[in-house]
Amino acid sequence: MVYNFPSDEWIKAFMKTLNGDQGKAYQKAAEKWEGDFIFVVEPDETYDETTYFYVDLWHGKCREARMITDINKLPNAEFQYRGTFSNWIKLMEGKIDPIRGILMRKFKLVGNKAKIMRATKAAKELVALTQKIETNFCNK
Amino acid sequence: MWFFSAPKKIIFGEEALEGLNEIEGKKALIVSDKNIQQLGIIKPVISILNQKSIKYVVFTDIDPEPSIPSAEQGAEIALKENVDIIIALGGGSVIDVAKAIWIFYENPKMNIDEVFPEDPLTLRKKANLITIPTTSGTGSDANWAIVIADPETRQKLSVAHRNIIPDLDIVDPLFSKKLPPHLIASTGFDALTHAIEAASVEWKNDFSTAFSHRVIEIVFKYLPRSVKNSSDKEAKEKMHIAATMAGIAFGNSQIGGAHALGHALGASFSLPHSEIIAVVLPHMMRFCIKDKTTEKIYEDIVYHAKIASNEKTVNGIILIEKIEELMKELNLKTKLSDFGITKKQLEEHMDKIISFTLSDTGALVNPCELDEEIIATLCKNML
Repeated sequence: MVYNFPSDEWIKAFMKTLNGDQGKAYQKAAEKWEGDFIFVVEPDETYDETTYFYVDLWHGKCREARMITDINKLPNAEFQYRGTFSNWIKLMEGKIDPIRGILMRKFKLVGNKAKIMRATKAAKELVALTQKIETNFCNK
Repeated sequence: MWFFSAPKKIIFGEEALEGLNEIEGKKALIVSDKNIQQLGIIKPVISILNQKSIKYVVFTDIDPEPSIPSAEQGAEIALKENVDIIIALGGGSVIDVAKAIWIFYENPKMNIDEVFPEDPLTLRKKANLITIPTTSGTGSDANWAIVIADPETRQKLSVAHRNIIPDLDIVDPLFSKKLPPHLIASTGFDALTHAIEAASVEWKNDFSTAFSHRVIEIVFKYLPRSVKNSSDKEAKEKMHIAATMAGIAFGNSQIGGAHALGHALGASFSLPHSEIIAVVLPHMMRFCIKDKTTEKIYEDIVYHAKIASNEKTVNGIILIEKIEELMKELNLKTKLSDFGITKKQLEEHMDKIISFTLSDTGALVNPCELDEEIIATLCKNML
């Protein structure tokens, strides 16, 4: 099944993939890691809106994943990882890795960076999971 | 898009120390270690400071592995003495601690975990950093990284920020003349590993590859001479320069799996960094050469670094074989058992080794994906 990105259906499919057999590499890499994220898809020349995903990661599993439409209801997450729509596509297509993306100033990470830098394998596996979801990018 | 960063100025070659006459300031903190102080290597630096009427204070209370408590202690002295120059005179540990002292001195309330590449980091308000490497291997004098031990887990953490690049780097072979042969050999292999990984990891680029090729050529030509003949000035000078060039290479690319696993083994068994890196390098290369792109990169290195005697023999595996030959020629340790590590000890530490390796940034960019099974196999092969 093909899921539109960004959408609530897409992030729910991501959660299902992460918690399933295809997520085993991530589950192993993140078995001692916990933290929740707001992933922010920012507008650019190919996409008009700002979209927010809330993802709660807990010891190799995803406890909750949802798209947030009301900015006033954003949870107070430990981390925020934000980039433009075009850069999210590059990340999900494997053209840039999550850490290099920050160094290239294509993504901004807010939160305890050291905690992320001690879990680079998990971060890489998390991004790799997005490639396992059949995705239709909702650009202009 | 990517970046190229290097020290604002590198003064290199014989008598490069005279470049220290260029500095201006009132009081310097010389960061070094007790061995260097005992060997008298610190004297020429002090002599120049005296000539320039620059006061100084010496800090040598450095742990063998760079640690946060050492850096905090040094920063307290810097604050108390109100220094405006920090001079790092030593190997990788000294330089890494000096960089951390600089951060804590300029940002007294900062935690090392808060240093992150794209976040603001105030430096140079109070002092400038001058590096004078005394070993030919670290490369820390020429890049924006600090490797420092986590006080709780002993895991080696890589901290990086472009502002940390020293203001002046003085690469004078005077300081490497007194090194014992085994240290010249192992630190030279550290430089070789920096160059090979900078040229082959996912973050490789044309700038870092250019530096890497020349470093590898120098190592193969001059490291044996530098180890075997203590009076070979040319070889020592070339190796000293090559180490700094390798630092620029990996500082603008990344280290890879050999360093990730080397850091993990080093932290688990308290092994000297350069010696364990030498053991890991050929094993990691044999694992990575299964990747066709990496095989071609190794082949390019053989060609550009002029390693093969006959053009018909240029191929990637030659590079690994030549590295193994060089290790034997230089009497370097080649196995974990050479450090006294047993199979039982290795198995007892395996979970930690795997965890540390996989969370190291070197593993993130290694040309071939590392996982638990591969790391365990590599470790067993190294016994």
